[in-house]
Amino acid sequence: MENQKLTFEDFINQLKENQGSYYFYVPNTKGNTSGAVAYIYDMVAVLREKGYNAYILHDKEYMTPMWMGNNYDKLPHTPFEKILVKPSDFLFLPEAWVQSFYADMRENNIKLPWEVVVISQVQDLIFYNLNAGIRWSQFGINTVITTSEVQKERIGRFMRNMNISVISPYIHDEFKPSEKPQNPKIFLFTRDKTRGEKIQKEFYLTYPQYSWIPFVVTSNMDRSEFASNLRECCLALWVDEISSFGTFPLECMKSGVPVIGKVPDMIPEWINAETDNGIWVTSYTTMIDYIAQYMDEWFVDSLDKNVYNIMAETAAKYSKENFVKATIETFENLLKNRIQKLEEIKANINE
Amino acid sequence: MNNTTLIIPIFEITKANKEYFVGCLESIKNQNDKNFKLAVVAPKFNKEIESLLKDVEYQKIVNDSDKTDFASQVNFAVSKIDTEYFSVVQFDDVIFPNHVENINRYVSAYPDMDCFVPLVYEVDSEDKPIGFSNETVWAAGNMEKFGYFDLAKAKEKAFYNFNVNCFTIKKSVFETIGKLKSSIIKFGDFEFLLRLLNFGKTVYVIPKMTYKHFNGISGSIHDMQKSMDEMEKKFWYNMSRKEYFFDYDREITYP
Repeated sequence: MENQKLTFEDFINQLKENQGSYYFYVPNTKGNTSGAVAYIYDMVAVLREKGYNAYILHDKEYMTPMWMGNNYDKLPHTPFEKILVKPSDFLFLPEAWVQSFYADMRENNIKLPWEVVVISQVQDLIFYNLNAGIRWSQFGINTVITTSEVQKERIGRFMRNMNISVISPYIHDEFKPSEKPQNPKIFLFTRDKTRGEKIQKEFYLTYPQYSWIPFVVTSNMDRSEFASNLRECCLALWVDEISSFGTFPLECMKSGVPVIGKVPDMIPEWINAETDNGIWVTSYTTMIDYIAQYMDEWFVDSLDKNVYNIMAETAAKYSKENFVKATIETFENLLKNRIQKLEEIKANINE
Repeated sequence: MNNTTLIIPIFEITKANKEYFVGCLESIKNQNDKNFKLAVVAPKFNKEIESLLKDVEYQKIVNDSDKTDFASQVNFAVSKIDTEYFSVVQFDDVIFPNHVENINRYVSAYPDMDCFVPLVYEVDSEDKPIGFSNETVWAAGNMEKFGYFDLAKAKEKAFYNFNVNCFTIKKSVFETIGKLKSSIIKFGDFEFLLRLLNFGKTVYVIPKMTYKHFNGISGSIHDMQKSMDEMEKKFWYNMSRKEYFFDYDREITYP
């Protein structure tokens, strides 16, 4: 069969009928858990539910992460080698991979006609692979999706003239309060494992009366098991210096587990002076003392029960409903802008 | 619904222990959850005891038999109460305001559980903290399952910081396994714990600090234990490890 030659008009029409493809690049985490990966899978799932041709795009070597549940392994996955890129398509690249992606393209002398959008969830990772002085706009990228207004503002300071949309992650329904009373266990969630161990050791030595309280550390559990372990604990500790959104504390809040957290460099939008939804500290030593004070009160049931209501209210803002709404709004705008851009190019060609 | 009776066994109110009994009664009046019954068992209720109890509603149980030790008092009281569960509060100890609240909460959450004990806050006779009892059940790797006693581990002396005198138990289970034994004069609560487990009953530590135990008050069991020599201690300890197989009280005499 003779290949049909498509015109610019055809691609614009494809976009108008939303027939373009949306490729979300996901690095190979070898099956390990990653909040950043979950966010992308959540987005692809929502887009497919709403009729978008969204795909997980991956390298040749890729292990589909199974820990998220929700039949996410059934979402369409495709390797780079198998796709045929058209101007009506989109590529969504995690922030850490922008420079290396374009370096690969340049090395192989490839220029692809799709619209590239950066997904930036962790501001710290923006500079992970990016050469000094380089802005994304130099690769022709002018659209970014990020997870919070705080991060949007921060990115806008150095990646200028970008069109930045905010889609906050949602907290899954696996996270729910325990039906049984909680246990004297402390759930430890630290990006750096050794930091968590140091906190535990210092706590045991400083407060030997509590040196029997177990610290729960999980690795590579599926979401459901993770949530189940979390909701049993009476307290969670969160240390993630480079976090930009802070999904874990929100999972705790939805599970009814109070959090003592070290405030990260970028203060999450849900931490503020008016909302008493957790214990937010700025030093590790203070953290140790707060754990002991919290346990003192937990053992005799003298904690302010209203905290649990405030936690639930904070977490409720990050619902699936809100995530779907923000996703659809953002993608409708992306589509509209892309159509406008192609129409402008077409007009220039015709001139 | 009042599903639990708090039983206070009294032997004798003396000058030395009166203030503790007053403290105990205050702590009962201060419970957050009032859904409980109170029963006081004593060999006799003299004017002093009755005057101390004048502000509380309670079931008066007189055990004027020839056996008025702790075990006999509790056993006698249990035969007179009408609730599904009962909890023992020693007259010289104090319960925190969350004690009954937690009994009711955990009984409702774990209806199949046979017996509960709290984390006990141990203090000396001057109310200075000593530490916890029963907490090792919640320490990683110390029992088969977090929060539950298991027979093999409970038997190991290394974990002997248990205080199960302040148990909450189903009345039917208590009667089935042979109640408390008067003949085990020391370490009787340890024998009772092992017996419960040996008969396949479940014992769960409510991970809340609800019970303050005064150690070493003059005339108390702990005070007696303090004055025992090593031989005597060893005898009663070993005896408790032998007697738990029996669901009846065998006669034992220290040689």
